[in-house]
Amino acid sequence: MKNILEISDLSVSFPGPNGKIPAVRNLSLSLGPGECLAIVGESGCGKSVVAHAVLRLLPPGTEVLGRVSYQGQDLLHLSESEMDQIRGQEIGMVFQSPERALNPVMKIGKQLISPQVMHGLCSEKDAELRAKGVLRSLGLDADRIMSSYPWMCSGGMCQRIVFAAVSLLHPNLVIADEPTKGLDAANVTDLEAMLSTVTAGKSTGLLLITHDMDVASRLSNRIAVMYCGMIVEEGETRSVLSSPKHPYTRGLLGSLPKNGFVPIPGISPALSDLPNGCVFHPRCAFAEETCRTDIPDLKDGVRCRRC
Amino acid sequence: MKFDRRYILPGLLILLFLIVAIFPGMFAPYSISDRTATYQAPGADHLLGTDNMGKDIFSLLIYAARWTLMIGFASGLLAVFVGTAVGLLAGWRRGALDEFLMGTTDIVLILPKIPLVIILAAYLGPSPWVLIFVLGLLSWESIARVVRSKVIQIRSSEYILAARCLGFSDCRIMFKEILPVVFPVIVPKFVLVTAAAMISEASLAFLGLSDPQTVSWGGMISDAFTYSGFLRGMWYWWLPPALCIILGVLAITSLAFIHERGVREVMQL
Repeated sequence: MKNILEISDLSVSFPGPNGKIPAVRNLSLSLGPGECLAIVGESGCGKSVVAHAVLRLLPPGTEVLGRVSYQGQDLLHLSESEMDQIRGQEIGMVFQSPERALNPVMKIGKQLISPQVMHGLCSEKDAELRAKGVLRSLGLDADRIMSSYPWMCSGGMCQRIVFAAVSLLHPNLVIADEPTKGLDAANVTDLEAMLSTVTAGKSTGLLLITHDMDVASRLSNRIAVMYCGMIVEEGETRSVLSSPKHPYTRGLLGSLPKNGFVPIPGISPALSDLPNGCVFHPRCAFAEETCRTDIPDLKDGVRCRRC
Repeated sequence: MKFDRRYILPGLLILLFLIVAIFPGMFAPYSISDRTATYQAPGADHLLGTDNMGKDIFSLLIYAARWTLMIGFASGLLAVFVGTAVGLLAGWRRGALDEFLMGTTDIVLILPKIPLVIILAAYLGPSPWVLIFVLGLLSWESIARVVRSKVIQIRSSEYILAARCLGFSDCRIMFKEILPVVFPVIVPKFVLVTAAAMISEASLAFLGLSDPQTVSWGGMISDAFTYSGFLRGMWYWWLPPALCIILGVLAITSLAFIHERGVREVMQL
């Protein structure tokens, strides 16, 4: 089946006082319809930058190289008005702080109706009915919510409203950027149920960006582990989590409470001062001499790994 | 949201001034062209007496509300329009446009306002429209600065990013997402500029730089000063318009402060 999203050789650099700061380096990924790909890694490894690069949301001055192909068209070469057509209707995004992802001075009803009308999906009257229908399906009191402001709703309610805003536009690709961050266990379960409906239709892809390995393991078919802007391991979720091949993936799994809470020694290097060779070698117990000089290639196959 | 009772007194006062300004004929016993004996003391026929031309001062006071309020509110609206447009564009676009617009704002900020208004009013001729234009175009800089700061703060908010992710264009984000959030900051600025414009109008009229054909509260004080109203002890000629200016400005500024405090309370600042 043809992939919805294909990212090839994506490199993103931010301008810094002493030259470019590489946030993402030579990243390649693909996502098919009905598939959930999780990008995992610790904070600052460049996961969200990938999402922002796909939707062209990076600040001016950022250098973005490579190709981001959405259903055959390279998003990096589209005009801003063409991207406005892609954003929302083709690619939707669920944010990590739902309360802050809603306009505080606009009623929720208006926030759910206006994107549908703007994209020409339906009339305002139909948009209101559709919005109420989706809110009800998510277990919310639609009439009350439609006339409420975001600050009148709880975090869990806001998360459902944000999800409703995205799903009302029926995008082919949903990017969820740390959607469980700051939510309690009950809301995480609810959110997982909502996100699992995205891929249930087999036509929509879900790009899940998270540092929560449990959420990634429950929702994703495939997993890509990122470290310092690079993918260090990628493969089927079950396979990667049950038998990790890269030392960083092993360290990441070992640091989970259920696996003994063993921290990875050292700290992540600053992106402006990355070590030569394998970026993980200063923290790796298995580092050899070649690791200090050569950047390992991502070995292709069912299980790709950079070690 | 609960109605704030503090709005009632200044709100009623402004409402009264506005009704009087819009329908002066309903309240004024005489037309401004009616004349009778000059320098009459207050009495049953003329509540506040008559002026040097024999015009009823009470009727003049009522008709004067129109231009004083008109100049104040129109200048305020013009200043808000220019200041908001400049602030929105500078804060949203940033870069070279921001530097240019803020440079222009700084120039307007350091201009000595009253001397410049006097020169412009004298040069362009006495007309209430000139006054509105000059006062409005010299009072937008503080609004632009405040709006720009607020826009810079908001533009990096997650809900603006979310709006972009839903496919909203820059123009739509500026007017539909950012402007409503900036609005509570603009309202007190608008009323303060309006109050300042009313005072400026009164000052210019007192200096004789207003249109003698239009009646304003400042113009009435000027007439009382010029045509021996002060020397004759005719306090009922100059005191009522002075009180109207003071009450109008106080009511408008009170509304601004109450609104600002209300917003702070809601935002829990």
